[in-house]
Amino acid sequence: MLSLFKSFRNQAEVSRLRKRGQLDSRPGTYLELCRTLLSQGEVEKAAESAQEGLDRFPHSQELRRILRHAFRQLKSAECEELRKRCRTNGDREDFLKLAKIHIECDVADEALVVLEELHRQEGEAPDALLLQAQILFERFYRDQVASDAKRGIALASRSLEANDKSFVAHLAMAQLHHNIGATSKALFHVYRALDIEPDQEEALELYNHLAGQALESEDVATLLRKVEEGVDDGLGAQQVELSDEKRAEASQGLMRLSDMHGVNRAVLVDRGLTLVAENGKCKELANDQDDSLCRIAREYPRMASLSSKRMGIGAFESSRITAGDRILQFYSVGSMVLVIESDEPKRADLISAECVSFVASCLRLDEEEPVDA
Amino acid sequence: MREVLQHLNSIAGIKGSLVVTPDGIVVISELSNELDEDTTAAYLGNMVTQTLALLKAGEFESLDRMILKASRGKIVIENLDNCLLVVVTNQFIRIDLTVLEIASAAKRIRALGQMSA
Repeated sequence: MLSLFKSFRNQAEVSRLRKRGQLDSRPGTYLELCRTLLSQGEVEKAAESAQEGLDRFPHSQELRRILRHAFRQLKSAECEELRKRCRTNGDREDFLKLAKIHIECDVADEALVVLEELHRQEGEAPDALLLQAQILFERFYRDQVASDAKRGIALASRSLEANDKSFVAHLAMAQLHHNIGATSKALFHVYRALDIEPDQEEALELYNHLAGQALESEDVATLLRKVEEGVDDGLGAQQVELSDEKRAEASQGLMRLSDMHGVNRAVLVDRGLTLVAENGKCKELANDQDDSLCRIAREYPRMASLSSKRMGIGAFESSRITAGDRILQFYSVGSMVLVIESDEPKRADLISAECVSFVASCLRLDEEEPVDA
Repeated sequence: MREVLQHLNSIAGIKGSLVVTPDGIVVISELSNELDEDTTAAYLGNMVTQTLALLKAGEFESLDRMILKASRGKIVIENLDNCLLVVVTNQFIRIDLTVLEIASAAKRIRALGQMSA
């Protein structure tokens, strides 16, 4: 009787959180929903809810962490079994399955290690090389680290040397070259892809798009370096541009952040836009207006981003600098940077949690907005 | 000092650590194979000097600690008074716990500096 009552209560709580999550403009309710489901042992439902939350708040790091955790729990037995088989008498299929599970669990680095091991044991195979290249291309689209794309291109080329009839490999190469502005190379691969599958819609669409474009005047390495440095802020940067409505909402949110106990100033920089909130007021600052915190907000993330990419630790996400009693916290997604200056070290974690939620809510995708908008 | 860095590097998730001067010159480094020593030292040195310059321009006191999170790793910088201890970790490490270990290592390095002075 007691367990039945508990089960009803759990279901009611989940239903309440699910409804609230759909209305909430912040990812917090989805997080609560996922944690509740996990505490009830409903790992699969927690993963589904985390994915649903990520569809709406694609930049929520906490939801991504929960999804990774849930997937790992769901796949741990299968993963362990495959790992054992790979260590003893596993075949290529086992290695590929294990790598794909790692990709699903959002641990692409482990997938790359599994595929390297496969090459060592069984020799290079075009499908495994292509999978490695696809992982690196995905990582490049996310982090914009030039070395990922370079390695990916080398692996995809090796895959194509072994099997020149791979439509998927040619299309992946065409898309990557198109994204960095290497039109001639993109055209070469899209022609080859269309030779193999003449009616494939995605390839035809890419061909039509490329046909009217000017050819590049720089080599691939230069184009990749430009993307890495953010000279051409193509790729992911377009996804995070704020609409007018979201700008107004961002101003409100920034004011709320600056009103938090311990916060002195809050700055939001997004391309040409600079918003500064302090003492309950938010103002837009012109680019030529001199302000030391805004200068730090523009220059520090750029420098940190380039250094972390070239050191091989990926794209810059956030930073906390403690200087005496003053604390600077940075949050960066695409072209958007949020900086908070505070003077209450004990409240830094609380302020940080609010900032993370604010950034994810600024960049949420509402139902009427297309995913790639 | 090398022993302190080696002990720090034995913690799961830490990829390497080094001590640099505020103008970016490497005093001592203990990095794992996956980090190229010259590249890492060059970019860390550059990051340290530029961060210090920006903080100075913004009239901040000298940097005590910096924690940087990236998609595939983290960097922690701890002030050693005349030098900086820099630690590179993977992305999965619990930074709140690791920072305590790094602070303790920094304290030991400071003490070594005072003894040799």
